[in-house]
Amino acid sequence: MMYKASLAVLGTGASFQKPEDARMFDREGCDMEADLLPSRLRCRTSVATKVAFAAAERACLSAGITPSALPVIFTSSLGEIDVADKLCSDIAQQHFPISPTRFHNSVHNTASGYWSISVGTRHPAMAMAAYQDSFALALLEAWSQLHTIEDKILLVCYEETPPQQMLPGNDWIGCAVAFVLASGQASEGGVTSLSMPYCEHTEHSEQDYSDGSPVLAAIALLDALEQGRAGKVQISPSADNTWFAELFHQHG
Amino acid sequence: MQPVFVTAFTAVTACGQGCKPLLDALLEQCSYLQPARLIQPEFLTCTGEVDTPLPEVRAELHPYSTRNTRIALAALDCEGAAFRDAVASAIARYGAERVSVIIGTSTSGIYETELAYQEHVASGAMPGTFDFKRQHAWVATAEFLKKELRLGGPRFAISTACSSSGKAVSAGQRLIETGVSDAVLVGGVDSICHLTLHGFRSLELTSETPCMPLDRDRSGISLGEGAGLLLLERDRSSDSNMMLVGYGESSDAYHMTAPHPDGAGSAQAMQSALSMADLAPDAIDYVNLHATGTRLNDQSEMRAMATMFGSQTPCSGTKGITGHTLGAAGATEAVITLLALSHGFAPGTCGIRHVDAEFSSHVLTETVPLPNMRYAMSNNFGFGGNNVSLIFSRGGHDV
Repeated sequence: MMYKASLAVLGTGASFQKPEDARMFDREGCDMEADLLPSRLRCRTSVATKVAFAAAERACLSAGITPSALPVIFTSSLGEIDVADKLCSDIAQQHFPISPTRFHNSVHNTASGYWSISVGTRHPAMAMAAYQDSFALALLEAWSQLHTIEDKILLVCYEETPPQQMLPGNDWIGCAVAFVLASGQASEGGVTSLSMPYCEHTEHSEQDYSDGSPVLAAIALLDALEQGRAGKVQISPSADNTWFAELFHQHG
Repeated sequence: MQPVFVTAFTAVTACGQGCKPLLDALLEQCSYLQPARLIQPEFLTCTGEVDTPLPEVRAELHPYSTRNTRIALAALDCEGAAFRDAVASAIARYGAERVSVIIGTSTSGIYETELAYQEHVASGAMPGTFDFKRQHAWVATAEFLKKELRLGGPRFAISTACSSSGKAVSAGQRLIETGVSDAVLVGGVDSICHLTLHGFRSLELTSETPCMPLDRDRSGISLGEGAGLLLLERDRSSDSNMMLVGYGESSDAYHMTAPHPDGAGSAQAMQSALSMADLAPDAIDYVNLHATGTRLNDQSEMRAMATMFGSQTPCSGTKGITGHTLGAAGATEAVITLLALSHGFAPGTCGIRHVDAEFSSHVLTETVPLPNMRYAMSNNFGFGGNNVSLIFSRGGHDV
């Protein structure tokens, strides 16, 4: 099957909880600072929400688009997992009543909800999850929206470190990657485009980080975009059904 | 928008397993809200719990076994496994790769995680059966359904609190319109859990008595649990002449837990759905409201309804029967809307005594026959100011 360029990448952004992780991915300075996160929320939002905000803000800035002009897709396999851990502990120890703030900050659309409130947009906000395929299927959802109802969209993939009690042995880092996408091919300016994401059954994927964070796949795509690579890029870490997208790079 | 066919639908609710007990409850206006039983908190509250026995997950998929997946399994197998058969025939027609699944949920399998944490507190270790990835992760129920039904298409979860499964329906339409899939199992599943029971209590949003949506004396929600499943298809393949003809999604941009006071965001979702279906407001014969029974939610929605529909369009809330099934509300209430369309009636607002005098809409207190009903809307709104509105039709949609 021939895949054609159908998603233009207008802007990108990344964010890491820890400077050493940012350095490991050659992204010094991609911290969790986000001007759009109101100061009253900074002390009571999670790492997940903070990295999502910071990456989203950078992507809008790099695309030169006002955040309030964009519908959003926030995707994360685990979302507000630290809040869930604290609430489950409170519940197990019968520490009632539980914190109302903690409760409403436990929903999966906490980050997307705060985002739409903070930037002041009535555009739709999607919050989705597909475990290790969370990034790949969010890209598919973005592609679907851009080929039916929307012109431009902000896609944010984010995770925080899950508690060992929940996911023993995990080495996930707190990080996020965001893309501003538009339908169609890239226009002038040497920007890049992607094909529709597609799935292939593979015995062994090239990069098998099957229990790893889906954000790693988003970082791999970001690297490929920035390096001007063309061709097939793996966008999910799963070992059996692996998602890919074709990358098209046009020199302006 | 390309209309899609709803070739099969079912629900498991407090009323029982399948469409029949839900239909009977809607027609007879029978509430299934009772004092909480699965979890007995230290405060008074009523819940709509699935008391009927749930099937066991087969051995091969047992790591996925949670209250959520067992409720989903009950939805597949109730009423002679009609829904399972409909999915199997879609696979036979289109091929497994062309059939996808999108499930909305607000808490996934967190009930089992809560039990595991209790054991951890007691014994110092999580139980051996605890499997975060297959039980608690948001996609767990969608993945279970994919494996149980041997679907080959994409699977994902949508979790936008109480609008989750309404948005699963619209996302399913998009997968069909864009040609990614020919059939999509869309729905919502949520179970009662400590997190939501105690969480809504902490926000002072639970009612001590069975909820009374739209009533002047309403005092909060009654939680429910259940599953609603719809099979969306590109082609009409069954006797069902139900179609999804429009949807609208929006954000309030107002507050995490309180709705916009004038319902501006929800009105925008309803307007978008009408525009997408190319319908004027007066084409809508019935609106199934989100109507949770909290002071602010109902006020906000009814202000939006007055703006959108004036005082003529019949509307009602049905959470006095089932309770608020949260992430499953969009799908279970889509099923209620489809039952109303297919059986030609509009359900009353169970539990209501005096319609709030501020509400100028045509609130149905009793179930009424509407034999010529053609278009019906279903609304759902969630935390984060996340809104969705769906429009279904009976028969063709030629505008």
